Amino acid sequence: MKDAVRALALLLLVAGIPAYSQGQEPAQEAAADGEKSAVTQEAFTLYGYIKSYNRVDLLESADFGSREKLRLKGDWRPEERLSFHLELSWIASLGTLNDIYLQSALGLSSSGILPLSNGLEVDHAWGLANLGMLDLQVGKVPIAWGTGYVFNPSDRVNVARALQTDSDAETPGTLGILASIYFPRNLTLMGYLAFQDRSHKEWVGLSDSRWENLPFGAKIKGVAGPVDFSMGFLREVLYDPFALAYVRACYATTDAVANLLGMNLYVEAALRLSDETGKIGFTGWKLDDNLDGVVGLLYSFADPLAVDIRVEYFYQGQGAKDKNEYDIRTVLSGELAVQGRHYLFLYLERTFFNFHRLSLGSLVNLSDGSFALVPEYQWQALNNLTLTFGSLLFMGAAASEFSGEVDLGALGGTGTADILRPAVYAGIKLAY
Amino acid sequence: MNSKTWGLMLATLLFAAGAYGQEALTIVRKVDENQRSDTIKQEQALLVYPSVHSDSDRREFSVLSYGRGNEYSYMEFISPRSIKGLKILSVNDDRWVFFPSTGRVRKIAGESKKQSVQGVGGDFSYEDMGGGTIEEKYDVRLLKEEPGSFLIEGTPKDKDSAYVRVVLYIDKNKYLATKIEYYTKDEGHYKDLLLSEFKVLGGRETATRLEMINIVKERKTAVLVRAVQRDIPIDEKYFKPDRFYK
Repeated sequence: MKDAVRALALLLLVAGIPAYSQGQEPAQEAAADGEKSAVTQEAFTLYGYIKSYNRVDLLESADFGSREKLRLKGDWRPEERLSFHLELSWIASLGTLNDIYLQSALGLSSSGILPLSNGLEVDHAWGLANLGMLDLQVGKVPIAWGTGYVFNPSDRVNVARALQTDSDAETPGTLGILASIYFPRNLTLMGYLAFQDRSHKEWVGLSDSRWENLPFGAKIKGVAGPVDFSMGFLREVLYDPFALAYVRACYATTDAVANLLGMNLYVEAALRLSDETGKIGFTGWKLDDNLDGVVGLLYSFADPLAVDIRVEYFYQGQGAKDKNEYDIRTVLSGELAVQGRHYLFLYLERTFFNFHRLSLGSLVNLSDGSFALVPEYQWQALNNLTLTFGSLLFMGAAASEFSGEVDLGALGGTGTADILRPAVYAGIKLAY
Repeated sequence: MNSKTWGLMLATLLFAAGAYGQEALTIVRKVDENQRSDTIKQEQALLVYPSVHSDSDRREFSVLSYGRGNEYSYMEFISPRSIKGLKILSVNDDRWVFFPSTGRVRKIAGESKKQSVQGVGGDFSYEDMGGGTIEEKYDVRLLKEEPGSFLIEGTPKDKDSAYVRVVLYIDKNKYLATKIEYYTKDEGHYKDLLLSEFKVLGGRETATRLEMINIVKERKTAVLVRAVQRDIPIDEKYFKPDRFYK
């Protein structure tokens, strides 16, 4: 498999290098002074970035973690209505940023070692055909549904992730077919059929051949005045590594976003329509246990304050009602982003002198009062060079979610482990 | 002074004001007509400077844009590589942004129209880059005539405008704007847009350098127009909120 990936990368490089000299002709009327157009679209384009992210714990042990990331992206549009996109990813992580650190803390590692890197991987690889009123996209495609900023209850093809400081992290590709049919008046019917479950596990079992283990989703989207809205239906399939079985559920989804009163307002919800069997059924079904929803707003204060503020409330019906019911396995499996029911995300951002950005993000568990704080400074030092400095701070009473202490009983162990440690981090990103 | 004299003066003043308004309207209609096109494709470079006093340490963005009428505009960032693929669709006052890394399209706030375009517009705000003819955007009146220019005052028709007034300098011979002064309620004279280096592009005389100087913040941003095509067929998909990014 890795050989195939290398071959693919090589092919892309070979195809891409001469493309810079074979780009499409500039627009017919170039600037009168004969200056060559700088923004003519290229037939082939290769680009991407290298990012180094380094973190030091603030506790007495001052453990260190480092993650180096390479992203190689390629675009190819051989004709106006046919385009291709490829993204290769290589990540090497060590110390506290390697999975071994978490696995060891939770007693999930038997060997105590993990690879430094999983090698070069194909994360996105898709082709898109525009066929009149139909768009067809096939391959390994990022599927990003929902209007929520931090939480997306209607995104049921990617593992849930909430405490992510990498704000521009790519949505992982999912093997599948996506189709969009466009009707007049900005009405669109879109859907996907995925060929892998939400966990994106790297192995295949016999049960993967069963139709019931194929996730799918469909929604109708529209624009009505200042409101964009959608309504849909989907089936979620997740391989639970602790139960060693597939978990399935069907959902009705909706989202909307509008600009009203100078604010950007959004809502997103998913209502689980399944009982324990995963099929549509309402045996023992309660609304408050089966509804996940987000309500949020973004407001930008004008100069001289010039601060953007975002507030997002998340209700997670599938979360624990009480902190005594927290189960870290729901987060580790990727089923839930967080363990409780009520959350508030607050975010402030201000840009200085065009190239400097200060931000403060906070995620509060409203049920147990614990919270995470992420102050960050970002400097766009050059066109393609960004430096980031920040810290991760966690506060909360004993046994609260963001205190970081996890009861190992659910994982078959004893005692507790501290998995959320305050830290400072620095990142450097170079785009090419 | 008797009431007849007062009435005569008032009528004269009203007539003069009306005539000035009418003359201003005639002028801006000529300016609008000079710039009118059903569709437009442009290749532009956006140069953002840290200070009005500095020509170094600038950031440069290359943008491909499509427009249709005054309602629809589409922008795609070609460089720098760090934001390559970022796309923005504007339909009247609604805007959608496609973020290539996350693959997500977000409808963004109608927010303060003074805000820079998605953090990369420098001193050009959404309102500055929005569509609409001068006549559609402003109530106009002729302030005065100078040797080479008409000075026309525009009062925004949109009550949510970031500006309380603008002053347009119109070249008398070409009927093209060469300078626009922007005034806000709080800051007064806030920005100047200087239009220069006129060349024939897309069959029309076009300013190929647009420099926005923020007087209050002492910053500047320039747009260089590299190429223009007018009245060409443009795929409808670029103007649809669910399709412009594909």
